[in-house]
Amino acid sequence: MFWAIAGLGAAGALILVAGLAVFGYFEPSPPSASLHATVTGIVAYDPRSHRVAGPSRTRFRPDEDPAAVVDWSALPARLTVVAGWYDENGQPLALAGPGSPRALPHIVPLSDQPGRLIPAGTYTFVVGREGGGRLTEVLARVHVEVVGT
Amino acid sequence: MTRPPPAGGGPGMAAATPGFGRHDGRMTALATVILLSAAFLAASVTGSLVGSGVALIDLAAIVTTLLIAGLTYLVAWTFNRFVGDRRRRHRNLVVATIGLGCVFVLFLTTVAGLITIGDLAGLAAALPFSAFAILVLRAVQRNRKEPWRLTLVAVGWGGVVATNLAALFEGVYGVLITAHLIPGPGQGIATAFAAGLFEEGGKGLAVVFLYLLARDQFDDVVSGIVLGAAVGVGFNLIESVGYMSSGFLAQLWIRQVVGLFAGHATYTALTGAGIGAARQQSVAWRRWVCALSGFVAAVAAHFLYDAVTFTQLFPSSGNGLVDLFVLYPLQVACLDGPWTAALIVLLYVGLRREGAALRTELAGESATGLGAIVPAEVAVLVSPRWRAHQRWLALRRRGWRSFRRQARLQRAQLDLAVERWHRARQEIDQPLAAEAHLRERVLQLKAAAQR
Repeated sequence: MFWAIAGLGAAGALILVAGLAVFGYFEPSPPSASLHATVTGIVAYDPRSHRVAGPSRTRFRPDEDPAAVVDWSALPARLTVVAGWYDENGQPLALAGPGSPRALPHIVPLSDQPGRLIPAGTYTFVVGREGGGRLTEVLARVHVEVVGT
Repeated sequence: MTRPPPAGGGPGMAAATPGFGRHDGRMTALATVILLSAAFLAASVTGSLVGSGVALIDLAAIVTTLLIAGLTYLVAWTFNRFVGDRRRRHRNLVVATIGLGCVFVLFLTTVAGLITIGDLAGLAAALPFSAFAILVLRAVQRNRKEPWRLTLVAVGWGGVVATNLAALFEGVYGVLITAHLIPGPGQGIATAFAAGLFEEGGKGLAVVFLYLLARDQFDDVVSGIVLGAAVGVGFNLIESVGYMSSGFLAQLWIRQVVGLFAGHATYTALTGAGIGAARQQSVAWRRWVCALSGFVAAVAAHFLYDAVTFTQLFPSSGNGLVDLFVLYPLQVACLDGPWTAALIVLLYVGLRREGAALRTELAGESATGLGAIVPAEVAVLVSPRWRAHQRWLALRRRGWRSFRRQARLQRAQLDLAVERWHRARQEIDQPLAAEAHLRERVLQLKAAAQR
């Protein structure tokens, strides 16, 4: 019994070490503080007219579509960046890029489908530097709450 | 050979299986409660400062409880100044403390209610499945069942206390750590790690407290697996109801059918298996290795499942029904299945060893000739079916009181055999005197049965 339990513990320890190694690969080092993108606001978006309206806020209803308005001017054109919305587990929901900041849209909506209800929860808009097919550095981040009615 | 009865037998005797709260472990339990309370307060304050909703609720509840506690004890103290009788003064303080305990339980239940978003329909739908799981767990423990009160404490801790602890610590971790990570697999893995650590930590504490305070009912790996799984079932019940607000039938299927014995029940049963195995080690370092191994296995199993889910490593068909009824059960079978299978093997081996040990000790006790167990009773006591048959006969012949008396006698006889088993395995530091006390109890019950 002792060795059976110890064996399960050893297997568990191996899994956790492997998890730490994968985490270290995707979260390589603290980001440099030299570059920052500017998110000028999160506003309500109309998927039909592709326009934004109203003031910037961080709480939305499920029938509202939040969109980030980004000012790309502070980032150098040679940089490859991605702008996108992510769920609470870091899964991408809507992405713009990768590409040069000059080539990316100023408005990035969470959803582009008219009439779609967005599940309640916390969503994060992130502008990040891209390299090797993944985000390597976060240049701007805004959290938004979608609150169920 | 006749074994002389051990000396002593009064309260405070050294025993392998002392009663609730009488073991040396109560001081460790008290220290753990103080540490846990300090961590709870620190997390509530920190979380409130960074805007965590759960932390704000917990902090408000802590402040309210402390205020009520202060006022209650002030009133009790003032009242007691005019009471001359020491016993009445003591009783007043006990009543005040019980009242405060009720306030604290009410606060924890309220938070659990918030986690379930007050979904009473979800609770009503999920409850029969969880109740079924508890009945199965008790049926599995065929040699010596835990008392219902311990099983319900385990379920209650899982549903009310562990959910609160997990929500608080995961919320604070999310705001302080996860929110600042690069979105993607790294963030998913960090979230999975937090879920494994804080949820298994909160649930595992229940098993630790039962081991420290109710060691007379905590025998071996079987007790650990059953009580650990019961904690997991309680946690799973409240978590299921919380998730059912976003997909009633799908979540009921996922969490209360496919994941009823996998998932939380399996993870905490791993912690329980470790502590149960530690219970049967006579050397300190082996006890620590067992307890830590069980907990590490529980955290890893939980982490593995969540990491694969959060990083979407498991394939999806794109068809909701195929995902729900084929791929999701497959994912559970692949990720949780091996751990559940390992637990079933441990349970099987544990039950066999327990049964063999009971047979040996019952025969040994009957050979002493002291009368607590006679040779003819051994065959009945080792078989759950024959024990049930004997109780049924008592019910049919002499009614309910006789049935209960028979059940108590069987229980006391098994307690005596288990006590002998623990002593034979040298699972105590000092020679014990509890056997004589237990033997006396059996003889009293036998005498009462013959009246």
